[in-house]
Order: sequence, then structure tokens, then C-alpha cells
Amino acid sequence: MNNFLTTINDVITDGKNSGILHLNVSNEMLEGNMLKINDKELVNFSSCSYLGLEFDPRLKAGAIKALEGYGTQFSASRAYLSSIHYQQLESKLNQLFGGYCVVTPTTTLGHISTLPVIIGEKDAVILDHQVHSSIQTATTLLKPKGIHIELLRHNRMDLLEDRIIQLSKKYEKVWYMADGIYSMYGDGAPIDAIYDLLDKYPKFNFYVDDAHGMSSFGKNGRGFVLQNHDLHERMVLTTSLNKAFASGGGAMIFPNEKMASLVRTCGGPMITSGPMQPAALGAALAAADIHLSSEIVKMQEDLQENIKYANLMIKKAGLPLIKELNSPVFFIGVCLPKVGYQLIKRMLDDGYYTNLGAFPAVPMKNTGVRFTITRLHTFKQIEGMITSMARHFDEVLTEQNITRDQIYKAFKIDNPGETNTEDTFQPIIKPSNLILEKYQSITEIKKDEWDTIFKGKGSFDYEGLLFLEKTFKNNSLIENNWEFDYLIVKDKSQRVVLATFFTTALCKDDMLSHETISHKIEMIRKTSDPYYLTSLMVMTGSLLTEGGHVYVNEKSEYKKQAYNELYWMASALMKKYNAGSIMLRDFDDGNAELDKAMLGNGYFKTQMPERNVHQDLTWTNETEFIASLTHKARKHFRGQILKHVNLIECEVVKNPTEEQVKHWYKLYNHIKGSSFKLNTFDLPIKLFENIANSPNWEVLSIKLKTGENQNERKEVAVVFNYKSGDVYNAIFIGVDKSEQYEINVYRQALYQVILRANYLKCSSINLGFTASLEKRRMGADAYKTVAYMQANDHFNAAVIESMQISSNQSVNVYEGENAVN
Amino acid sequence: MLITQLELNTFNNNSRLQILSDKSLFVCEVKLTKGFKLELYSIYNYFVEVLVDNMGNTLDVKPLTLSYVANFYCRNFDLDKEI
Repeated sequence: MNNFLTTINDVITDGKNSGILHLNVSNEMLEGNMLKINDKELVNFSSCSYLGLEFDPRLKAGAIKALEGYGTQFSASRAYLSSIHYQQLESKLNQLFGGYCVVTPTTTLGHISTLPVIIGEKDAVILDHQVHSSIQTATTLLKPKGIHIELLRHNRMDLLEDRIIQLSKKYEKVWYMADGIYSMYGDGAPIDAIYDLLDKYPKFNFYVDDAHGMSSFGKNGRGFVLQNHDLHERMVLTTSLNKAFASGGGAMIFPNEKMASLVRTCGGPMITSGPMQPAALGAALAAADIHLSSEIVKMQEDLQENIKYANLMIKKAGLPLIKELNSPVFFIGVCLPKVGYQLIKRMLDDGYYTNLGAFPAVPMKNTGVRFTITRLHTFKQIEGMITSMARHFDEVLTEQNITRDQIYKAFKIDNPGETNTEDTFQPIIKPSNLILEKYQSITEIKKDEWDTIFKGKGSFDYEGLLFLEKTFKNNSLIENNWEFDYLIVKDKSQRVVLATFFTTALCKDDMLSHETISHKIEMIRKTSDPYYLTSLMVMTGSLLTEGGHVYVNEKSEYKKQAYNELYWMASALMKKYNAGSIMLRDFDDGNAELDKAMLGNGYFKTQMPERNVHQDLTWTNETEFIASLTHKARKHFRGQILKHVNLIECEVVKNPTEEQVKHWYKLYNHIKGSSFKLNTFDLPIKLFENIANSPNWEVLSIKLKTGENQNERKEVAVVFNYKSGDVYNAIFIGVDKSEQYEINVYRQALYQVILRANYLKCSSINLGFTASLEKRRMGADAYKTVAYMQANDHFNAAVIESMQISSNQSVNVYEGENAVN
Repeated sequence: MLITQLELNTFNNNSRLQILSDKSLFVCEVKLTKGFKLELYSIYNYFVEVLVDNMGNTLDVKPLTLSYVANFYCRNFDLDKEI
């Protein structure tokens, strides 16, 4: 499973284990909006049948009539035969919408039938970031044709207009795909503004899914989108018949007969998939009659009264409603999944069933309680549910150490009760048993104290961090300026419970993406925008360190509280520096307890490249070293390394010349430019100059013996190392790639690092990420490493996700050995 | 939760009846001609009047001012003496 699926699985499984997801209704018969789960009577606040038509006797009678007439199914492709109901229903829907309708078994199949037919190879598609996943899925069918698809930040009409102007220069049609009412927050597309754009730009076309607006809004219930407009000549309206329409299937409404006919004849599932069942068609016919009568007005009014009452109650209860609208979908922000689990569970105990709005439908930090209001609810039920939520809300927040202010900030909405912005940097309930120490430079911390914890852990002991602070400050390029922050959490006896350091730096959002994706993005960075898909990231550790950046005293009874401080600090830094994401990194994989805690706090787990550590340096000569390798590795070592070792010469460089440092930088760039495994910005030359003058770093220079005179020997590789305690850290490498050599320079360099560490009597070597196979062959152990990520929003991640390589595109990516780091 | 007079005004008659049934106390009724009647309810600090026809159908539900209640429902009520 990839990271994305793993995260979804973790979130859903966690919800399932908490007793709020994957539930089963136990009723044989339903009465109105009541249902039973685990024998408990609950009021259902999750139904999308907003008008409650599913219990209308006319719909039931319509279904029975069709069922008796045609049986349980009429199994024929619509390309051959359609039951009488289809023609009747499409005719009624034409009248209802004022367009040309094609009914499909589901809305998803409707999109799959429609998009490949109406969108041509010379068209461009703009997807709203929050457009329903069924449209996003259908657009993947366009990718193999090479159709240009891009994402737009949610409802940003200013950006949309700009993209229409730009894309119109190159493409025949520019399609914008959106929802009428969005299924999570219940907010609507800015329809008036979109119609203005349709009138203004002749190449602009609109494809909209109004599933959640159907029936509840507009004349004859034709939906949210058409409540104040007629169908535009360059617009396709799609909707669902199994929400408020209470029957089944989807409806695609086209502005002209030609387009409808094309989809009916060429839409894949229209030919190859089965039709809707007669019962659903019969119910839909009855629903259409109700919609075409004046009765629908009263139903819509009743629903609106309930929605109005729910809005009033929420306001009185002071709950953080994310968007106040007249739509039947409500979303109360709770920020983190763990808060959502608890709140929904308590409401279940009180007799109210609501939904968890969580990842991937919304970003991790934008978790909420989603509920829907239907015409069947009474005011008493609505008030009861909201009172229950309000009663538990603050209690759960207190238990989970979350503030209302945090919630409002996570959703970027004004906090009506905000008084002091400083609160955002400190938990409201301060753990009385802990002492927090926060610093902005390592110089503010006692050297002994820091090194007692971190010496021998990596290149981030006191001197190592002093070096980084000096190097990554006051540089011309933004990516080379890092912010440093330190956190030490102690108990009352001054024992350290947790310690770590954070750096905040501009990172490439595809840092951990597949190399093919990074290669594609790099092309854009090279040609147009060097900062495309980059954002500030707060991380534990830094881009130039690896290993256990977060020290935790596992025996401390305050471990959990200390972790809470870590989350708080990370969030505070994210706000302080206006960063887009947080990465808590370099944790060993397989810690289920930590995974669960991180998930509850809104962090999803992502795999990092394996971390390689050489831990067997007890040998005293070459024979013993070879004996320490596996049988297979011995063969490789003898044949690929030992055989050529006499052709190279390695030295620890002291006082290098300016020219030599420049040459190192060149070698570094050779290998950096050829690998996207861990895609980061290029390191600055200042780093190399500082290394050259630092007593704590060692530079191993590997030269190829090309002649008798040593001065003529060619420097073909250089390894930059940092020694901390008795641990040797090979931080990064440079290799000459300008020509093919008889020997594998990278392998020779790796061996020289091992020899040097052995000579220095080190206990282990941190060999960094990537190139695990090469390192394992030299006796290193590979450790599965994970990071926990949190993002302000998922827009950039979604853009990267959408950059799948289509079948007709080829990307050449260097797959060979990699940098040490 | 308290529904103010102003808030009650934003709802239609059916909704107002729902609110009445959940939150009000019946005060009294005044018989009118032809079987019609007026019912007076109190919600927290204000009154609501319901007009019912001879079939028991609700024709109107409206919040009242205190002076209207005093004048109409308490004809002998002397404000100067009682308050």
C-alpha cells in the first residue's frame, strides 16, 4: 500500500475501532429518521435524502408498479433496449431542467460516460480542488489522451479567470469542473461569478455536479446551480437522483440534443454497463411528478425552516460552524481526529448519529462533525442534537488539550471569542508537572546539557548545530536561510523528558515523491518557476541531519504530556513562520502506539527512504572485515571493490585551497543533479567553504591514480563527514560523473568511509538515506524510517498526486547510485 | 435554548407552532364568534397568540407586545397599580 492508502486505512480503522465508522443499522423497518445501531435508538443526522421523499407513498407505489411490470430487473444494455421508464423519466427531467437529459445508473457512471466524450484532445480541464472525487476519478480517463488537467484552489474565481485567459490562448475549450454544493462543508460554488465568466469568455465551459443541491433548491427542485439561472449553452449540469430525489441513478443535463445524443451513443458505460433497476426508475418517475408539481415548494420551505433552526441553534450554542449557509450540510470544526472520535461517540450515547468529516475528504487538521438536516427532522430533534454536541464539546476539547482558538485558526476563520493571540503559542491547560524550555539558538543552551542527550546520535550535537546555524543564516537565496528552534521538556526534578530541535526551511513539496514525479516538476522549475510547488516546512531535525532528532525518556510517566508539548510547539512554529506543513521525522517504523497518537493529533505517517547504519566496526584488518560480510556480499566486495582498491587513493583533506572547494562543489552537483530520490534544494557553496574551515568535519578525498606524480592524480569523489562522539556520520557525497571510469567510484568512496571510521575506532557509521543496496553490501543495516506529516491544506499534495505519468509520456530518470544522503 | 421574539418572527407559522409546542406554556384562550378562538401562550418573557378556526386549524401564530396583552387579555388590568 502506498502512503496515501495507508493513511486512509489508518484513519478509517481508527474510526472503526472507536465505534463511529463502518456501523450497521439493525432495523428491519425504518420509521422516519430513527434508526437502530447496536440496539440503540438514534436520530439519523447523516441522510442525504433532504426532503424525506423515500417514505412518500407515491414513490413507493411508483417503485412497486414498475417492479410488478418489469420484475426486479430489465437486463439489457441501453445501446440495445431501454425500458419504457427511461424515456418517460428523461422526458420529465428535460422539462424539469430545461435541457437535454441522459439518465445513468449512478452519477459516477454518468461522469465516466460523459467526460471522455465531450472533452476533446485540444481542450483543457481545470478541477476545483474540492470537486467531488467521482469527477476526479472520471478525469483520470482523460490523462492517457494527454489532455491538460490542472487544479484550482477552492472557489478562487480570481485565479480561475486568470487561468481561463492563459489557457484560452492554447486550447479550444477551457472546462471548469466544480460541485454546486460541496459535500463536506456544505458551501456552494459562486454560481453568479461563474455565469459572468461564461458570458465573458467564449472558450470557457462549465461542468458541475449538483448532487447535494438537487430538489432542495430552485424551481421544480432543479437545484442550487439553476436556482437563479437557466442552463447555459456552454454548461453541463450533472446531478444525483439518489439523494433528495429519493430514487436512484444520476442525470446528466446537456444544453443541446447533439451533445446528449453523443453521450448516449458513445459514453462507455452507456454501451457496456447495465441499466437502472425498474423499481428505482418507477420511484424516480413519481419523484419527478412531485418535483413538477407545486407541492415541491412547500417541501423546500419546510426544509429551509429546519436549516434555519439548525443555524440558529448552532449560533446560540457557540459551536464553530465552518460555513453558515442555507444548505442542508453542516460542518462543525473540531480540528483533530481524536476530538472528532470522542465527540461523535458521546453524541451516539445521547442518541444522535452524525458523521465524522475526516481525511482524505478534508485535511487532517480540518476534521469535523458533519451532519445533515432533512425535512423529516423536528425542531426538538435538531435542538436535542445540537445541545448534546454543545454539552460535550468543551469537555472533549479540554480532555484532548485543544482550544477553540486552535480550531478557528485551523479553518482560517475568525474566532468570535478571540482575546489574546499569545494563547495560540501555549496550551490553555498547562501540564503542571512539566517545565518547558524554548530557545532560538543552540548558544542559549548549555553545551554539556545538549551533548549529554545528543552526542553520538548524529551530526546535531552542540558543535554540529552551531555549524548549521552559522551556515544557514544570512544567505541570498531564501531556501538557504533556516530558522532554528529548540524544545526541552523537563519534569519537576529537572529530568529531561523530551528534547528536540526544529528547523523551518523552504522545501520542495515533492521531496518524498516518486522520482518520476519530481523529474516532471523539476522541468517546470527549470523552465518557468524555480519555486513551483515549494513551501515552508517546520521539521524536527534539519535537511542536513538524520537520526533520532526527538529524544524521549521512554520511562517517564510524563512522556505523553511531553509529546503534546511537541505537537504544540510544532503548531506554534507553523503559525509563527507561516509554514505550510510540519514534518516530525526519522522515527523507526512499527511503533503502533506512536502511530495512533500521531494520527489522533492530525499527523499522517509517510515512509521515508531507509536509513542505513553500519554497526560492526570491531574488525582490525581487511580479512576480518570481509569475514563480517554475508557470503553474497563478500563475493561482491572482492569482485567489485577490492579488485580496484589499489587504483585509488584516499586522504583526509586539511586546509584545502579555494579551487579545491569549488571542485568539491562541482562533484556534489554531479550527483545531486542526477537524483530525485530525496528531492531537496541544492546546498549552498558556503556550506562547503565552512566545512573546509571546520575542525569538526572531515573531508575524505578519493583520487584516481592516473600517473606516478601524485599532483596529477584526479580527485573523483569527495565525502563530507561529521564525527560526534564515537559515531561517524557520512553526511553527503560528491562524485565525478563527467566521464566513465573503469572503477565504480561511489563504491570505493563508501569503502573508504568505512575504513576511516574503523581507523578512528568509531562504534558505528550513519550512512544516510538512499542507495541501501550498495550500503548493505558493505555490511550496513537498513532501517525502515517514517515521518509524520501535517499540512495546512492539501492543495500542493493534490497537484503532485495528479501528476501521474500518462502512458504516452516517457520520462528518463537516472536510477543509479545515489548520494550518501 | 431561548428563542427571542425577534427570532420567532423569522419562522413561518408551522415552525412557530413547533417552537410553541416545545417551549411555551398555555396561558388562556378567548372564544371568538363562529367557533374561532385565540390562544395565548407564553415563551420565557413574551407572549404568542394563536388564531384557531372552528375546525381546529391554526390560521396565524404571532408574537405579541406586552401592551397588547395587557389591553386585550387583561381589560381590567391597571398597569399603574399592578406594576
